[in-house]
Amino acid sequence: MKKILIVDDSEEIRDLVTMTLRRADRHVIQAKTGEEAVELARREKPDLIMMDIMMPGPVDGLEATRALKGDVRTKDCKVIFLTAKGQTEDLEEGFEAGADDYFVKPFSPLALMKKVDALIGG
Amino acid sequence: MAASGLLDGSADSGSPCGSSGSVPESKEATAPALVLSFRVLALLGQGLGLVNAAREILRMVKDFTGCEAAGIRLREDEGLPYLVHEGFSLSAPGADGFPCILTAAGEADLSVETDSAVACACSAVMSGLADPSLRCFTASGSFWINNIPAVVSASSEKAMFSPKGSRCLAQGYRSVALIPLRSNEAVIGVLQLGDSAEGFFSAQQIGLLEEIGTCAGIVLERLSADEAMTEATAELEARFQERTAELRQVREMLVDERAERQEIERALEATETRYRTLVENAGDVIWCINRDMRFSYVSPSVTSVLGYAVDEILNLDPLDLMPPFSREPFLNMCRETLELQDDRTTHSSASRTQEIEGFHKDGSTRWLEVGATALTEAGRPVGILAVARDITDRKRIEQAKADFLTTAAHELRGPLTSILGYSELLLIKDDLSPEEKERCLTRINDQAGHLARLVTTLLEISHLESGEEWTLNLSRRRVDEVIRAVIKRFRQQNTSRQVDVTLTDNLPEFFLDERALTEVLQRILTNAAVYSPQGSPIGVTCAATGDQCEIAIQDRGIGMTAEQIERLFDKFYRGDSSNKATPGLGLGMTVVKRIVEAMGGRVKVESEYGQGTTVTFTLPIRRADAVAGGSASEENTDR
Repeated sequence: MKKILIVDDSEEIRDLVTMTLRRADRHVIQAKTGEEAVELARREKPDLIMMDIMMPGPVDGLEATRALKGDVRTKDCKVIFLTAKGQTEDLEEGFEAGADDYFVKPFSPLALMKKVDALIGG
Repeated sequence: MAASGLLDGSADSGSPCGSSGSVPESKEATAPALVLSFRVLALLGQGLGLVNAAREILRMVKDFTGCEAAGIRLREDEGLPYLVHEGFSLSAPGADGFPCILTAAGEADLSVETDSAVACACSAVMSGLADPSLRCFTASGSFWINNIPAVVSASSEKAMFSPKGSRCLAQGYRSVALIPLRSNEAVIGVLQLGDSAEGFFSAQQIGLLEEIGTCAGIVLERLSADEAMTEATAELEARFQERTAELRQVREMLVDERAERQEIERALEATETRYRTLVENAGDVIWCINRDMRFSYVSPSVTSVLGYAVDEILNLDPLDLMPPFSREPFLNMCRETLELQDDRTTHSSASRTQEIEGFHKDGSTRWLEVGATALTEAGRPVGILAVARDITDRKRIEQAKADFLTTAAHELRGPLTSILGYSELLLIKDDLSPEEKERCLTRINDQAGHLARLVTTLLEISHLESGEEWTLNLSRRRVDEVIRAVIKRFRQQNTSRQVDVTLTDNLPEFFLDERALTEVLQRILTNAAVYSPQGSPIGVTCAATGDQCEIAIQDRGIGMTAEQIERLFDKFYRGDSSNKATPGLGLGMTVVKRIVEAMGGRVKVESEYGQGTTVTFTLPIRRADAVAGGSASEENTDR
């Protein structure tokens, strides 16, 4: 069973992504902040992380991703950024941090669904 | 040569010309002649002019001799014209003033035989060529003849006194006397006497006439000299006057020129004063730097822009006044300005502008827009004249605007993400429970409402930008009820937030704009919530004093620095621009201030960094409903 971690400070977005990606053969867990995401990922070792970039608190999405990709326990987790930031430099920074792909808000749930299916398999 | 003929006379000598008419010598005749000589000399003391003196002499001589005609001829350059004459007929010599030609040596020029004057005896007397061997000449050089036809037999005399040769003969004068007028031994003229009677003159008479002639010569020479002197003096005087007039004219021209130059100088001075005033009072900083990149002039406005005194900044290196990243564009601009002038392919007025950052004396930075033009001397660039304008405020607004657009886009993305995401989810997902479907729809609806409010705010901004004022819509309301209603809604949206409300009992019912007051309260409360920790309380108080009502909203949030308070009401300013997670468009307080002022109140902000912020605003208590009608315009003029 595949495990997906959704990280976003907005409940609405977490709920939306959860409903989009949930399937009978998947387990979806959530985190509200960067710190929570790192802690949860180390424990749960998800196959995929949907990561928001701008979040309140000391650890933003980029920072959390760097931490996870630099950790042997979580370095194989796929990370997809889901962010309102669309500027090129932000994306570059995201890929440098270790992101596998990105989605810019507003996003299409159908497109996200297909992307995730392709990335971690149906 | 005719002269030899003239002098080669073989006529008998010693006796007066003509056998008849000889006057016996008498002592009686000598005395009047002596008197006459004295009288002639006395003319000098009578202040007479040359001509008048000559007339006087002529009159005396005529009275003395009783001859019909007399004249005085004076040497003048090459001629021997009459000065005065009396008794000659109109056709007589002298009437036409025919000249006697003299050579350069003062001799009669006898070479031109065709000229009657040449042969005239006057020339002989005049030039001293009188030959005493000829009987018609006396030892003193006078010529006299008493019977002209009698002597024409002699060949030389014949030639001399032929009707062609002698005008005197032609005029019918039988007796002619030509007495030299002497002065200092030199013959200066001739006294000419003529009478139609034969044998008119006597040798004694001629002798006396010669004495008188000497006196007359002296007198005439003297008067002539005086006259010449007077003439010379007059001419000198005239030339002096002329020269004086010229000098005066030159002086006047110089004076005019000087006045003109002074006028130009005054005009230049006025222009310079004008420009100086302009430069010294301009808000822009005007400065010059030479080719060595040193300041040569900086206008006083530099003090208000960069904080330095003029004397201080003149000693600084311009490059030290800017951060390293501004130096290159600045130097490029300078180089291009000078090069542009150097190759002279374009007009010197071409100027370059560059936005550079500069240091204020206090260490802060200022954005300057610098326009540079080459300073030239005789067409060669010697430096740069630049005008620097402080565009810090403009830059701040530009930056704030750019930030605002980013923020606005971010703010719009939130609700759009929900609306698009949830609606698409409803369309593609068939495994949603009825409860989930409802949750999707609720969120779509909520976010659509949020989007609508954002759009409303953006429209308000647009109105603010175009300078439109809030239009008051007054109605009679209880202010505490309006406050309570706003707080009730706020609590519903911020369930975790504790809001303490303190309202005094005396709050009256008055005319107010409920929608405006609600808007203001909501915005201040939202700010308080955004900039303070989740659990910290927010206090709201309201009290009526006199004719106004004071409402205060206090938070225990991050507070603001003095600079942040100063910029709080700037459009697009966001207290914490570094934290983009903080929601809001950055227009809250700007809108608050506009609306409060439109209502006739004032906004006051007190804050301490890290301690919290209190926003206080006032509302005028409008008791009369009359104000409702004309309040808007009243308030407008009030501000």
